Amino acid sequence: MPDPILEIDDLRIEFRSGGEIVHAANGVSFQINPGETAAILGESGSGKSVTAAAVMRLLQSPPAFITGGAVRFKGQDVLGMPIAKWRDYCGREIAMVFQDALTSLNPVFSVGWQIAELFRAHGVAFGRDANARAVDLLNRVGIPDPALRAKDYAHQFSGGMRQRVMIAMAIALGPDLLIADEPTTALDVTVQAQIMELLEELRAESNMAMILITHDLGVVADVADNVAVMYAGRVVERGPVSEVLARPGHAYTLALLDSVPRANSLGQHLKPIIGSPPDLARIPKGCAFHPRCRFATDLCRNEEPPSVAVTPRRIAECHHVEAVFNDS
Amino acid sequence: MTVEASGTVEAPVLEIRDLVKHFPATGGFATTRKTDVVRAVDGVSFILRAGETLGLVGESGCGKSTVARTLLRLEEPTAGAALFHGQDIFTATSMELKNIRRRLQVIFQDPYASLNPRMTVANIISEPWVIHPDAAPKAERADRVRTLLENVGLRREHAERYPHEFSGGQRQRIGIARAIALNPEVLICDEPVSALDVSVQAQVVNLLMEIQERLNIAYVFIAHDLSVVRHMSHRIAVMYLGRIVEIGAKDEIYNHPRHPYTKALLSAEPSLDFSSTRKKSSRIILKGEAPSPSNPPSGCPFRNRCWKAQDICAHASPVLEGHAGHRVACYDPEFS
Amino acid sequence: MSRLTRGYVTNELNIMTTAEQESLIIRRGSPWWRMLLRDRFALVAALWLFVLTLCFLFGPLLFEDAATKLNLRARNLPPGSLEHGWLMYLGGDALGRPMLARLIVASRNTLAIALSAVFVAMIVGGILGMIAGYVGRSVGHVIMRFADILQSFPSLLLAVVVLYILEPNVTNLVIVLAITRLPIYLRVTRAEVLEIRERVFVDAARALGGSRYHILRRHITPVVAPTLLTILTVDFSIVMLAESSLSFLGIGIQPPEITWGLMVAAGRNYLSQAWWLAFLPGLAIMMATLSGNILSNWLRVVSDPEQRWRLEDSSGKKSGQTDA
Repeated sequence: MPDPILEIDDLRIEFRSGGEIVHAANGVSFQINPGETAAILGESGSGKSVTAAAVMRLLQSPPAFITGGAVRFKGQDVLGMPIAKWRDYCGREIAMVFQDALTSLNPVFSVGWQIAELFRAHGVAFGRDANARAVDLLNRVGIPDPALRAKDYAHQFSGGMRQRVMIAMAIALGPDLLIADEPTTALDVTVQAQIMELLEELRAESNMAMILITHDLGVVADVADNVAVMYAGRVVERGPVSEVLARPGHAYTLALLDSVPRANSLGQHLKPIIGSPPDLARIPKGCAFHPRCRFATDLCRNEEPPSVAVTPRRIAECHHVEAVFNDS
Repeated sequence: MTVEASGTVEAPVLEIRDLVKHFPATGGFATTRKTDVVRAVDGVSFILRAGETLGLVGESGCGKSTVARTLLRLEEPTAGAALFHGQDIFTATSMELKNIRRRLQVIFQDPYASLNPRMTVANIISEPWVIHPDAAPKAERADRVRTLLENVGLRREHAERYPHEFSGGQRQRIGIARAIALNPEVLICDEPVSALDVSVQAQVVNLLMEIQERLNIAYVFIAHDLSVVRHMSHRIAVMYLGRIVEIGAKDEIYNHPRHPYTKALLSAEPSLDFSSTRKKSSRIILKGEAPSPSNPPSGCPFRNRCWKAQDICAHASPVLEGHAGHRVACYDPEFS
Repeated sequence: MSRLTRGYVTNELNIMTTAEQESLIIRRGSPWWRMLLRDRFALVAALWLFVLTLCFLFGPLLFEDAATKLNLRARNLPPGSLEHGWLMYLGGDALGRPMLARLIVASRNTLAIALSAVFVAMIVGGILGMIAGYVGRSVGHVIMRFADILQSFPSLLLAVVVLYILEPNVTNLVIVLAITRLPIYLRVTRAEVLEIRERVFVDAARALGGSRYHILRRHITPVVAPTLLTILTVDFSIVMLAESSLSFLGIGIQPPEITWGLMVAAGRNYLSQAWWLAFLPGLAIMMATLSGNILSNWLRVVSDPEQRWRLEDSSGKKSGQTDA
């Protein structure tokens, strides 16, 4: 096994506001190896985006406080690193693509200028060279007429093209890890397919690792090698995608898969997960999923579930791994 | 007014003929004299039978939501007719329209925006009866609100609460309760689950299906999520750039798609089936993006992204052809 | 309806119901006075406005005589001594009349004029704004140009002209002041209406067959009203000062009638010898305005279901969902 490129260990994040504490992450552990595609799967409020923001050190404190845990990138402690050093890492070694490309791009500079600025800021290239590289990049992410479009502004691009620009900026300095936070959520399916293919191509070309944050089971099944399923600020199950989604070990993963319409569920009623995702200021005691779980027992209501190795490569935090595993 | 399932199987409840909606192009200064128009909907026809669900799928900008809004007369159509039991919605007087609206209701996409934040749930659900006072006597309204709440899976006590106290899924239930309060025959569902979490979507989909079984309401179900549409619908219409490019029974569309766009759309949908052979290698990745509806290509709207485009596609626009169960607008309909 | 009421609750729905319950915390609504007690500032403001109301109702009745009685020995008497009786506690004016009594008596004219002017402006402006924002484009344009004209015309000049032509009495003064303040309410209302009419819940009401009147009344007014009330309290002080300027020019309220504005104007001549002559009525204006402002903010919170919890019993704090 190679050393993981990124390691998140028992990360805890709180948001404090108005006398309330929102527990956004409650001990998230996760790792990704070089060249691998890992997905973090979760619904809104599961803590997946907050975790990514914490890794990139994008959280505003207050209201956000990291109350425990560690993040290691290539063996180095991220959270304790001087911020100037970390900024230098960003882009060069680790980069991020956001869901909302329009607000992530500066509206008053042309996109070509913004990409070239990356090279200039990191001292990689200057002047004409930087501009030429920017055009190259736009070409590489599949933007037609790159030399011309480089002079355009963010609002002149369509949603899919804008996301390509974002990707171009993210890969500009050849990072070893790309974090993509819901990169295709705002896009149509046909465009989503294009963007996912582009990301996959770029990843394979440079042997970059990629963390894909998404709520879409289909996207996970399509592109990821490994998956971490998050619920109420915890990774409740992780392992290889083909195994986890084919035969879940955690009741939540199973329920999630059951609730999605599939070819073999036609004409029947779906099996929804009852209730709503929990209020992160009032996470239920014991297993956070127990109020919505059909396997729940008194044990689940009172005690936090242990980490169980479902198979050697898989972990699930559930009191009833065996029952779930046999049911699925 | 009550339609029994047996009586009206054949006669359509709703018939749309050549619906056209052009918006004047905005942006820039008013001095632009060119009569630019955004062709949001450009000749859409379909029928809806009692108790059935017609799925309307397509990507953003294809005009599916505009179809919904014009059917509800929230937008005035540019041309065309929409016959509701033979009466044209588009030419109805305001009194006639008020009557039609009693029987033609809507559920909106955004459960946060579609409920007035300053009204209690009871007030929201009884608003239809305030507008149509004869639908429910005042004395009965409180009871009916509670019954409706239970019918959509909420509790009676929720009547006195405000929308912000509910989650997205619960709000959508409130919206559904309001929509069925007048006992409509047709419900237009404009992306009713797109804004919801995956685990909650299924609850609302089930609820809508149960309501249909109970009340025999016909749905026009608009969505971009193909799997949900497939689950809900009896028939499906695929829209592209303001037109229907393929329409037919659900199984026909999903198992034997004939329009290249339908094929691409189905193949782009991420799949959960690992065994499936269509994974990655057989996936059709379309080039480019849909052109702007203010400047559609000549002939077939899909031709510049289509891998089967021929000369004729640039000159003439194809019309829907085929047998009643499956019609497609393409010059190269593959028969598989 | 009968189809619905036929006890249609399947098992599955029952399961859902129980689970949905847990995400909602049962909470009682608090009565308005409870919420007033929880906000100290609003409470003080309300008490002060209550005192002013008493002055308004009974002041002239009780202190009319005292307020007009000259006492040359108490000319420009500084405040803070009880030597000349408690009415002189706030000092005496240039003619030795007790300030306290005068302030109390002046409250009726002041409040009557300012309140009627701002309320007339709010109601007329609000209605015109709603028409401009909701009814039609051409009507809206006409109304907006009317507002432009009103606003571009110097309001003092307008008042002077009108009051010279008409008789400078209280009714005309109120009308003139209302007209000059009207455009603000009109513009704000129109802007809000234009925004609210695009909201989905308004579409929903239209799709239900709701008439324009229904939508304006049930959906738009409740959202616009708190904003207008807030503007009203700020406007209140502007109107009081405008009224004093008019009095100063000799076309507003004339002595021996008194208003706070008039007292400020009269006190200006003695600023270097007796600052309290202008300061005390100025303070009265400020405190009335501030109280109104604080209370209107409180009212805005109370009338907004999403904000109301801030003022409710702590047990009900931010009940239900976070909807993160």
